[in-house]
Amino acid sequence: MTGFTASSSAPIAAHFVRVAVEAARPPPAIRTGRLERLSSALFASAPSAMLTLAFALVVGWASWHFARWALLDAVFAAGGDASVRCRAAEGVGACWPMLAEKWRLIVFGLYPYDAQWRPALACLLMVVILAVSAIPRFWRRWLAVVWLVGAGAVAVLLWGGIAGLAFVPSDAWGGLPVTVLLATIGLVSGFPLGVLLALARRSHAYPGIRAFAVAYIELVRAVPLVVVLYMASVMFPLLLPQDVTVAKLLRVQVAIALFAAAYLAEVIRGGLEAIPKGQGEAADAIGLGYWKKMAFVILPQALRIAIPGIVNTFISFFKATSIVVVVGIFDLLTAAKRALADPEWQGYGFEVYLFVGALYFAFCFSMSRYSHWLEGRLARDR
Amino acid sequence: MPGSRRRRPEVLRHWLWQAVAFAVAAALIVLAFRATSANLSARGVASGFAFLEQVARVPVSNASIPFDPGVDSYGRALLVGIVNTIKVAAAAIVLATLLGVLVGAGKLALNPLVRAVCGLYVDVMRNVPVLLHIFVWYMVLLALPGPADALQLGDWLLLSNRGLFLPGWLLEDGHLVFALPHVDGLEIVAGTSMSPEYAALLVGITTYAAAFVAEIVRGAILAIPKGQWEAGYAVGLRRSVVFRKIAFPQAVRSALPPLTSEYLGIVKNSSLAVAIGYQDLVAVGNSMLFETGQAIEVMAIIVAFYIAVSLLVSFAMELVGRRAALAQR
Repeated sequence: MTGFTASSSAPIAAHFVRVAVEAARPPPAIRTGRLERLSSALFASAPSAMLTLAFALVVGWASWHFARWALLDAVFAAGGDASVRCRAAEGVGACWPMLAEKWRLIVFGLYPYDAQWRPALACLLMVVILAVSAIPRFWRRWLAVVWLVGAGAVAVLLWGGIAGLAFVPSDAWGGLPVTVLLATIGLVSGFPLGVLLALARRSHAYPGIRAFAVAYIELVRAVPLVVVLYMASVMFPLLLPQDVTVAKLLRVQVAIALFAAAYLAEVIRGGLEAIPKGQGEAADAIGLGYWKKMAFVILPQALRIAIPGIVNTFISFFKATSIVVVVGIFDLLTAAKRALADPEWQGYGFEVYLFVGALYFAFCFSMSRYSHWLEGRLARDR
Repeated sequence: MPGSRRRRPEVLRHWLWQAVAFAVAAALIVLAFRATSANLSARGVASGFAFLEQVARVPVSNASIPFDPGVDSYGRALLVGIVNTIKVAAAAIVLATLLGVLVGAGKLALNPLVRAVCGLYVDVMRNVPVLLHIFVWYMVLLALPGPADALQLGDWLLLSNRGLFLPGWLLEDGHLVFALPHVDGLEIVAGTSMSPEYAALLVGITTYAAAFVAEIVRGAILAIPKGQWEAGYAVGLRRSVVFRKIAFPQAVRSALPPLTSEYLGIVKNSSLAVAIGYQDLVAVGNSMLFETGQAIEVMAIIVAFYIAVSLLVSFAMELVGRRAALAQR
């Protein structure tokens, strides 16, 4: 190193020393205006311009074909000979009358047709309650009352049997309400177990219980939901005495709740681990017992941190419940498949999947945006 | 010391509680066990793993190792399922990683059009259920023309409603021959073939998981200090070189833990095979469970397999992580 510097420093240094005044370079082009900035970004360099061109071609081609299929060559008018006109346009344009015909089946499943305002109202109620619960200003004790009343109202609306509403067994429920119910009840009822598991996993005083919590969480998280659903529908009846039966929807609901608890436990544990040790020590110092310390000092803070993670878990369960198709529960995706089975309207899978996909997207996208917003807000508050 | 005197009953109480909890759990297990054995003996099912040696009667489609119904055992049928699960999960992990890295890098591109398209991809793909992806791809593949007028891409690729056909090595008269895919009457002969079920599952899982991988990659790259980029620019490297040689290798390290759980998600999602009739472990196990009635044994095997895979993938990623950590020195 030193030898290198000694022998060659002089010519290198000379290379970097200016001996004459450089001519001033032209000022950088002033790029104002949105359009100009955009075009300079799109065509910043030759490779970038090529990329822009290639992407524009593909996007343009795809949107043109989609527009032709969905709008220009599509059949819109419902009624009359719509199914015949759709057959004529098959493979060329979309068949929207099919959705007009089938959307009730897709959204509400096999629920009695004339009473479908009930699941519609129940769905709306659940969405409103979820939306209200999403606003931090409303995180008060009365929200729990709202949930209880809401749950009661949803149960009355769906089951009926009182207040002049005809009784509808849970086997007849279907579509969107079932999807929302499975995810919501699954997470809400899995939540207490999730909290307990998270606390147990962090408790050093009870090594036996901690080992159990670790085993439960890791076991459940290692196994696909499908397997748990099969257990609920095939294996669970074997574990019960022979004269006891549980409705399939309830069994699947319990399975989803137990499954969700393990995922929630990990999210909540993340929140617990983010709480500084001093908080627990301060609670100890003023003489709070374990449960009071957790309930009034640790958990309120930890759960607050965990909320974005909980929302993300909710999103993934909202999507994951579509798997109940394999055990024959009539959720949104199962209902869509059923709608495709009608011979008169067979072959319009794209239309149906687009519709169902849009429904899922509306729910999941808004929730993920919310989770993102909340994360930023909670980070600011701290 | 007053502390130690207070500790003793405390510890004793802890153990007492744990003993109570375990007694309750044990009682529940015993009750369930008794109900189960009563149920099983009422149905005439002998518990135990002896059924694995029995001859399986139902064929397994998409078998990647030879399987002969009526000759081979249930154990071998499960093995076929395991091989099929690994086949689809491993391929999906590789493809989702490649696509995800591309899309994730695209979301960081300077070109706004590239950025917008990649952002749209991520938002659309990850906000619908993976099962919907699989159903859509399955529908597309089944709607393709039959083998007689299969879509052709050069000599190398044939696409029909029987699946995807690629060149590969073929065992013919005892020796390997390299075969391009070609139509032979109503059949397609090819070195490598994918059934529509396998292809739909693979592509569906890949397009879904790639969106998550893209977000992981993007997050990991954004987490790299700005100074690393600036240092790269300062020594005169182009953005693409800084990305490949400086940012990406460092991002790998912080991306590994979330990638591990994404990969485990892919393995678990491969069990959605059962919804379109691809014979993965869960699908094989499920039909076996109805045939033999050995619900608990079959479920135990399936659960054990997924736990083993989950440990294996975590271990493999740990090794990769160790290599990535050493490489920086």
